[in-house]
Amino acid sequence: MIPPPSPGRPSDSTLEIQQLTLGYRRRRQWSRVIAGVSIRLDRGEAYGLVGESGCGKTTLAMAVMRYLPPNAEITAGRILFEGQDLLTADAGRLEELRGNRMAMVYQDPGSALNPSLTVGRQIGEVYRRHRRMRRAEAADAAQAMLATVQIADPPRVMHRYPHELSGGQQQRIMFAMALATDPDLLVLDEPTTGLDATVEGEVLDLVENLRSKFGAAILFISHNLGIVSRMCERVGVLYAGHLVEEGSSRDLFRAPRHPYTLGLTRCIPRLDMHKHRHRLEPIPGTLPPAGETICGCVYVPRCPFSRARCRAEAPTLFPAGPRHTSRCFYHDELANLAPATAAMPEASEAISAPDILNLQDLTKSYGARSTTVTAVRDASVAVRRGEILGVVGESGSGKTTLAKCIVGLADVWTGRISFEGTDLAARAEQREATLRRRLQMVFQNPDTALNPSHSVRHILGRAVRLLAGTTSGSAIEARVAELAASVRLSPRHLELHPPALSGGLKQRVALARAFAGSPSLVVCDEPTSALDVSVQAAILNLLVDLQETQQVSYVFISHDLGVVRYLADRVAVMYLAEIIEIGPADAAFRPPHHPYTEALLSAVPDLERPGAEQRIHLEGDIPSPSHPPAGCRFHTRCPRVLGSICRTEKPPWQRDGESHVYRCHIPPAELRASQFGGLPRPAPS
Amino acid sequence: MRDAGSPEVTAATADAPERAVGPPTVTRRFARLLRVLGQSRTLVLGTTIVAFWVLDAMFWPLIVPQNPQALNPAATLAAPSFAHWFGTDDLGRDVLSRTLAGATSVLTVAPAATALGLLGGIIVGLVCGYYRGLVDDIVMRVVDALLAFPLIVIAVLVLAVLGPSVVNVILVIGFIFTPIVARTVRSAVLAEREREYVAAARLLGNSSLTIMVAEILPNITAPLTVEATIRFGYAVFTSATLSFLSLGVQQPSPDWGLTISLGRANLELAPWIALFPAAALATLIVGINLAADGLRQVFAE
Repeated sequence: MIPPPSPGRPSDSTLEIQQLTLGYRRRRQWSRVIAGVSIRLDRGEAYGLVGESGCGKTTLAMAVMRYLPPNAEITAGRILFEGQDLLTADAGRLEELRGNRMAMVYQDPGSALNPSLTVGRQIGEVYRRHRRMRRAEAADAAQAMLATVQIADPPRVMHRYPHELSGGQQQRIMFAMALATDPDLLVLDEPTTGLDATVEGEVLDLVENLRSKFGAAILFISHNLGIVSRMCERVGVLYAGHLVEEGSSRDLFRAPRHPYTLGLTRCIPRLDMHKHRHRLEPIPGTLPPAGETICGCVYVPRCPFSRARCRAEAPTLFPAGPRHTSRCFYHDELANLAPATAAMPEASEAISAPDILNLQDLTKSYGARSTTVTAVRDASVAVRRGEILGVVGESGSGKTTLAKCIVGLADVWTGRISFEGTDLAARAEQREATLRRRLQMVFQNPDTALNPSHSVRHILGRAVRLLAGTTSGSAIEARVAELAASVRLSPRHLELHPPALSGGLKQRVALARAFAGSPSLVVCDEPTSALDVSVQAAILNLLVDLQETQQVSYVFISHDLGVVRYLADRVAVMYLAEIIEIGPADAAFRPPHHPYTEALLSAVPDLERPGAEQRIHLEGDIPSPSHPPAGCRFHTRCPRVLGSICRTEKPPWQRDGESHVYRCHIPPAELRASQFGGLPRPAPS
Repeated sequence: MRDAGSPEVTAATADAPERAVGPPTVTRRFARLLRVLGQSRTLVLGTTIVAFWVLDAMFWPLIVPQNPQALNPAATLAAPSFAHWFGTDDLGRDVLSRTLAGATSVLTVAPAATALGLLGGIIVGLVCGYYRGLVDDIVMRVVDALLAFPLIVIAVLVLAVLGPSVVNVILVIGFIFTPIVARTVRSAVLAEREREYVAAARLLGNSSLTIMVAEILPNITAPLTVEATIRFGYAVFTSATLSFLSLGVQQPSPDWGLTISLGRANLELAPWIALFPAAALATLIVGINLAADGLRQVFAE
């Protein structure tokens, strides 16, 4: 579709960022956010930009689009789009470029779309403005574009408002608007963050399809290394506003030549890792605050390989291979590093302790009679003493509601929850104090889980007083210090208030609070989903340590299969309010398993196997929980659907081995025959 | 929002604890608060005006040129001059001295009434917002009904029954303010109670009272402070109105509202008698509203 490049073109690159330095001015203080970054995107190339939050990825994208906030100031460098400098272009020229030649897709489609215009109007507007089409023409073009982005039933979607669509559909609309003018450059800023795993897979498929169709160069920004390695040919790693490494995605992730890239690849739990065999390697420390002047290499404070030279002198980009550069003096040494993480002795014995928690037919519904939504239906699952039960599922599957019922934050439910042999009342307040103390929760969002008005010392002291029953001041003081040490908080942090702490530190405080009364079961609701990967690794290690030293059980809820696989002894998979599979983590993550689990696993982008051939494509969106499908709830999207039996009859529990069960009409023997591959066997230690 | 680079997030990372310069002491936090508040010019101007009147209300005996109650039959209804900067009233009393002294009554009634309204409003708002349910529904409908009446009508009705007195004025204004403050507090509590720290406090076994007072209340101080300042302005206005209607302080108090009311009789002959207390009242109310606006800006940032 793109016209061949005319011979007179000054350069063959679509986008060229040259030595860009920019910062923000806040309260008369200038802080540098991007420091001399140079990036070049050839025509039709997909370039990935990775790094932790706060590295400046989004700022760079905004600079390319010239969408920077008014307090941003570019102090040096050039941004060339097909040879013309965007930084000196006037408003009219920019307007023309932005609409026609370059387009951006944002992180949160829900807020990027205009809620008061129908989808058809919004896409049509792009055509009317930039292609000078009439209303009817524009509508036709919009509808054709909706078909191109593979949205189901375009004529109907044309008349919908954005809020009537699911997140995945909204993101498709964003792509339709961005591609409407057939741009040469597409900037994608975390386009799948916030989408569910299976929907994410679909959107990425779409991007790949559209790429082959439109041939636009893509600047792909993501914190997810797996996705970037799958989508992009070349990758740049951004750290504190500096480009620290750049290379082909294959070389860069397989053989990183900068300690930061190495750290990033090593702190992510992969599907073949398990807590008994591997220990995660978090990156110590935190990102330096923007604007801080650093002598020498920016990564020195966190670098395990740093030497005197690194502190004295700032490294430049050294060539580290074909089209591979690294901003590290000692990049050669990294190449000879041992390839895998330190293996630990195998200590995996089946846990045969008695049940500590037992759910029977737990059902929880919200809403009045006419608009009831059942968030959890007939959930029966047990957790043994000292065991970690992982609960996985996409958003809306009922994971959080399940957690709330267990700890007593959901008001009314039916069924039975017995904890340490005693049936629990619905609300935490109605439960016996001794039971409540032994059943605690760690929340998803560390920003809101701690009271911002209280100091860490106060928060922990209060928890010790209430959960451990300690009343004497000095005893509380001593226990608080002990708790802080157990989650590796320094005494200095005790005096701070939560807003002054980073996300990882906040989550440590929340963990310390839950452990104040020596609990026997802690429910963790996505405790690491709001954290960066380097911080996540530290929290996961901490969870493992606490479990080993305190003999506690976890119900660990997460949408991240890698994390669950790493941590959990047993796994329960939820889909649309129902538990559809329960089994030992090894068994549930290996065939035969439920077709939904199979699809979830295949949607996990893995650095080790970026190939998309074996991925399973789920059709359509997750049905609304208020009108769940009859029969098997998964039949609307199941690639292995048998026929009418799936649509009408509730599937039975199928048993595979001793303790692995799943809910499907297909027996294990048949599934085993068709579900080959799956995940590789864990590497021997 | 995973990624950052936007100024908000960079500011958050700038607070990274690893780099904090030691634990903040009380004085340091107070100094920081002052510095932030000092950045709003509106706030500084408003606070200065209010501070002037508050100091005047406390120390007027030291600065008045004459005894505000001293009669001078020789100089009644005298126009402003060097002897009497603001002139004299029908009994020959110095208007400047009376204006300066008149701040005391209004600045006694208004803060007391505001405090009473806040106390009532916080209690009702916390309980309704935290428990929700039937109690909340009923109380909030009553509040709606109360708010449908013009405030001054209720005040006049109640004072007509109770009889005019300073204490009654305080009680009445406090009572009228309770539902208004309750509404603000309730909406702030509704947002705050959904936060996970409230759930965490429940799991620790805190009593509902502790959660409301020790966990939620400290986090709604921002809207509460703004509301208190706005209420204070209205309290000044309402108490002056009630004095004007002779339902509050009685003669021979130099109270502004009362003086304006009495000065009306001589408005054509000696407008300064009513004019100067009215101007004083206006500056106080404007000052309070400037402070309220400034506070709102500061908190919004």
